[in-house]
Amino acid sequence: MTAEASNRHSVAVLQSSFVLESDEVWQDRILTIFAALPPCDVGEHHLVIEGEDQDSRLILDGVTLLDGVRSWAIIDRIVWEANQIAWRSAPDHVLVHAAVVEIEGQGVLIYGPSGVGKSTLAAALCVAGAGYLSDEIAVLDPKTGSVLPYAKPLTIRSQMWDAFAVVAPPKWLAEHMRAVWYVPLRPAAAVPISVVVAPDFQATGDVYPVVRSRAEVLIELCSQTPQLKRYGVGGFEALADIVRDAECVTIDTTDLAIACRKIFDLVASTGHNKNDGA
Amino acid sequence: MLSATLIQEVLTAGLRDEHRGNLDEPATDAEFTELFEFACEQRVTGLLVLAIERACVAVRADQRAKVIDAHNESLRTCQNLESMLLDVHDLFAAAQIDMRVLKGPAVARRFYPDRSIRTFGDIDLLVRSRDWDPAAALLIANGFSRRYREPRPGFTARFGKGACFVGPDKLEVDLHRTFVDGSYGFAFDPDLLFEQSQDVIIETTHIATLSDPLLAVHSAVHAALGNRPARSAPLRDLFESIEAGVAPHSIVETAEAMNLSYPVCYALQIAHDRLGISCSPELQAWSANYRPTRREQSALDSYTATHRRYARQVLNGVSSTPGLTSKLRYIAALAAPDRSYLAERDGSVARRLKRALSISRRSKEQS
Repeated sequence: MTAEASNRHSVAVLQSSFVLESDEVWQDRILTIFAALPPCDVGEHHLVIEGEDQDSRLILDGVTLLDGVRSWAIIDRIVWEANQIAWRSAPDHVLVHAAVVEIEGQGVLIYGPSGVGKSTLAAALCVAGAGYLSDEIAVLDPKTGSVLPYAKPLTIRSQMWDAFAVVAPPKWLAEHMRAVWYVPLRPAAAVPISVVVAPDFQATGDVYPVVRSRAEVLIELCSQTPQLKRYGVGGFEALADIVRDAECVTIDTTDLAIACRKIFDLVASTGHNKNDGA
Repeated sequence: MLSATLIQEVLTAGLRDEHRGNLDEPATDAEFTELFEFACEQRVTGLLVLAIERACVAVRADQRAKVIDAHNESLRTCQNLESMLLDVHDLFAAAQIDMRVLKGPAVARRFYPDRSIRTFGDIDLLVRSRDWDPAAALLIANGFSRRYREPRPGFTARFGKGACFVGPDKLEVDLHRTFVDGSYGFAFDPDLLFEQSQDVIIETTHIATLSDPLLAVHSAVHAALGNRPARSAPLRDLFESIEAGVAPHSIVETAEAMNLSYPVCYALQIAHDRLGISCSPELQAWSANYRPTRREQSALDSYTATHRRYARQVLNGVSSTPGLTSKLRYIAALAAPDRSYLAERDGSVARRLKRALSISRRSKEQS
């Protein structure tokens, strides 16, 4: 984070940014939550937080978004707005609604419909030793075929707090989070994708990852790429390249520990296969 | 019997800093079973999970696991329902039918800090009166079946609240024309509901819903005029709307503009009684000081009395229907509906009249 003045700091959100103007207490909270995003010199968007914890106001680019709300509502909204800024901000990249982690230098892209547990699986993999890139947006660089980090704070829902106590936010911050923890994780470097996972928490009972048809996965990834039309053929080709080179599987995530082990094994075997092929 | 304190701990999880009562001891098996059944029946397993995680309710590890399993099951249903919603949204968009998603998916995304807290059991969609019949036909053409027939063709599109459609996967869509049946259904022009809208984003699709104040008013109306006793989820929705920054005065103004002030005040009172806290001092003062007219009181009674007074609901509906021709059509459709409708419900016109008389008699005895 770069200090422009004592109470203004700027945070880069992909190719955009926001500057935060608030008192020091709020700067501490928000900058801790966004600690994994890089600092920058100027803010394209202007966020202002005013008022007390029980009666706070949030203003974005001169428009009052929230007024008279408690501190947690401000935090939830800023994380949401940061994501919206990210979605609008990267004309040079293909943005896919997916989580991405890194295991042994290889990328695992986790995609699926809303509520399927992408963030939860990403969190479990990170706790088990994977590197973190994003739990919301996979930023695909069509030139290199790699996925770049967008290290927004990892989202952990209340029902998973018990399982992820090891990454719990500090108490002074957690008391301003009502039903979701936002956890900053240091981002891993850009990675090529070698495994594409569709989590399935409908208790399939499948012992092994179920291999998916690449064509089917490509169609599903297209449906998770909201600006696909804008990217044109190049965007489609970038997605096709990922799917062509990766193992595409569905994994039963009803037991997260088992699901993580399967993914680590899969990445290891993919690595071996690639080395053998080479 | 499940204690009011325990229910309040669940329904206010995350809304209060302190919790009350001696809740350090894990719930007994009997207490837990009752609490669990309450949470499942009221579709508030998300709040029970939150209450457990925030230590508002103490349970054993096996009890916690059972709650999380049940909540995950609800989330799976929600996921399937949202997938169906996306399909129906595409169908309606292709047919140029303007729709708004209501209740569960909308409030979960607009008001709740974590949408997975707010689960739901069906999808509620609102379409304009003129689009209601084409929308129903489109659903039927795509494998849905209408759960109950209407008294006469075109009745729902003109007078009704809406109807339930069951999809090929047994998932349900409630296709609404307005908020409620009866007199409060005629309290405002349903097309006004389309004047302002905003989007919720499901996966990557933007779907229109009502404005935030209208969503809050709808939650209140649902709580006040829907099931008896009132469902817990819409009561919590009201609190979440305020927590998410919906201005109390905008709720009051919207309720007044839609002639729904009294049901909203009534819902606020129920919410205060059930949850033990008020969602906003401004709204609480407004509802406490609201003096309904005799007509409003009668209309509300027809929805909220122990034995709902269907006859009075119909009579209120008649007096609220604008225009003589419409009134006559409304009466005719209810007094002498189509044979297919009768066969499904009463069997014959005579039986229907007999049932109406019996309801009316019982209603008089109660009053």
